[in-house]
Amino acid sequence: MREPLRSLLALVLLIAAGGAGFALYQHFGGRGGSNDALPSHRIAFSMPDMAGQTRHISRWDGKTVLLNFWASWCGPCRKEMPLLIKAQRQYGGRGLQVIGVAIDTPSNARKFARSLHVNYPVLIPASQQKGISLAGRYGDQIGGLPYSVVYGPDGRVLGAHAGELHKTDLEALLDKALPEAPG
Amino acid sequence: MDPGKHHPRLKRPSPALRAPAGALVACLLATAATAALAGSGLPGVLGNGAGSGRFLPVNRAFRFELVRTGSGSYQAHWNIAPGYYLYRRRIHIALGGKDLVRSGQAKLPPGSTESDPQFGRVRIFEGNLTVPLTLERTVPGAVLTVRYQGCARGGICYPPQTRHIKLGNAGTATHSVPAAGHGGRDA
Repeated sequence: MREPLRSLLALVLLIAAGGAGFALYQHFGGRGGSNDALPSHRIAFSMPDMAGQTRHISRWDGKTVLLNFWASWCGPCRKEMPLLIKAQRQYGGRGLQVIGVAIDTPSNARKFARSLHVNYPVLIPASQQKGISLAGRYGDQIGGLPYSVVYGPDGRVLGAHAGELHKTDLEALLDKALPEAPG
Repeated sequence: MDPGKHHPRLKRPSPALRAPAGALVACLLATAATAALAGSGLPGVLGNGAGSGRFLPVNRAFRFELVRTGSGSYQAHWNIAPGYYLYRRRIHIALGGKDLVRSGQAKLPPGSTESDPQFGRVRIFEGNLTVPLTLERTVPGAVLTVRYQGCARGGICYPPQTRHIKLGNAGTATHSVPAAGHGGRDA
């Protein structure tokens, strides 16, 4: 094969392989580049909890925080909440703190969270628009729910997940984000 | 091993084999490099498809338009992307505070019934949804309010969308502002 033709073939194959690699990455675990908007560190905010007491997010500094944006009108949010309750129970001793942010009316959020006996704090922004805006600052570019962000004890954001979390996703996440279980 | 001795297993491949082999190695390197580049700079420890990039923005998931079809008659139209749906009970159309669905001036089709694990039996719309509207004696500048909410089958829901559409002198839609609204009641 002549040299120019061989080089051209190699170039074409290189481009094709690059494209294939990118497609595979997107399909099997890529994040679609959408989380370019993910902040490097946790964003400071404060808002009332279900009892109406204002909480600042720094209250949970030093823990591995799973921030979950949800709403009672959102089916996938409702479906994943028992998993989050279980995670808080199972991994709380290893430093996990789940925190819910309800994009909802206070009465609907309280009613649903209490019906499930949610065992972690649920914060309710002054308006749903403020909650959506906060989720956006945490990388939720389409404003869809549920949306979960995890950051470490030092506040460094470790990852985010748009859409319903499934058991395997959550376990894989927490095993990586949390310190090893003692002994 | 005698370095001077020719060993058949270390024989240089022929030029005919070198080009495809080189291309293969380049392909593998390109594939690995692409995946690594795509992953770098995107902090993440979560599982599959962690980003919102696999879901459409709400305005592309549910393309809405209001079309005037005659004097006092309009069509509210949604083009719903494949894999997405709107809840029937979460579509509200009002003019000057009057609920046009309840008054029969906005005729919602029945939709299809689904069994939702969270909300029980719900009626939903997929594909194209057209709702004929009859607006009698429209005051120029009157504002039509359209609210809707839907989800993706992939496991995400969008906050309720509210559009305020100012009807022009001739009853033409002239202004549309999407905004998130209240979650309200379940479907």
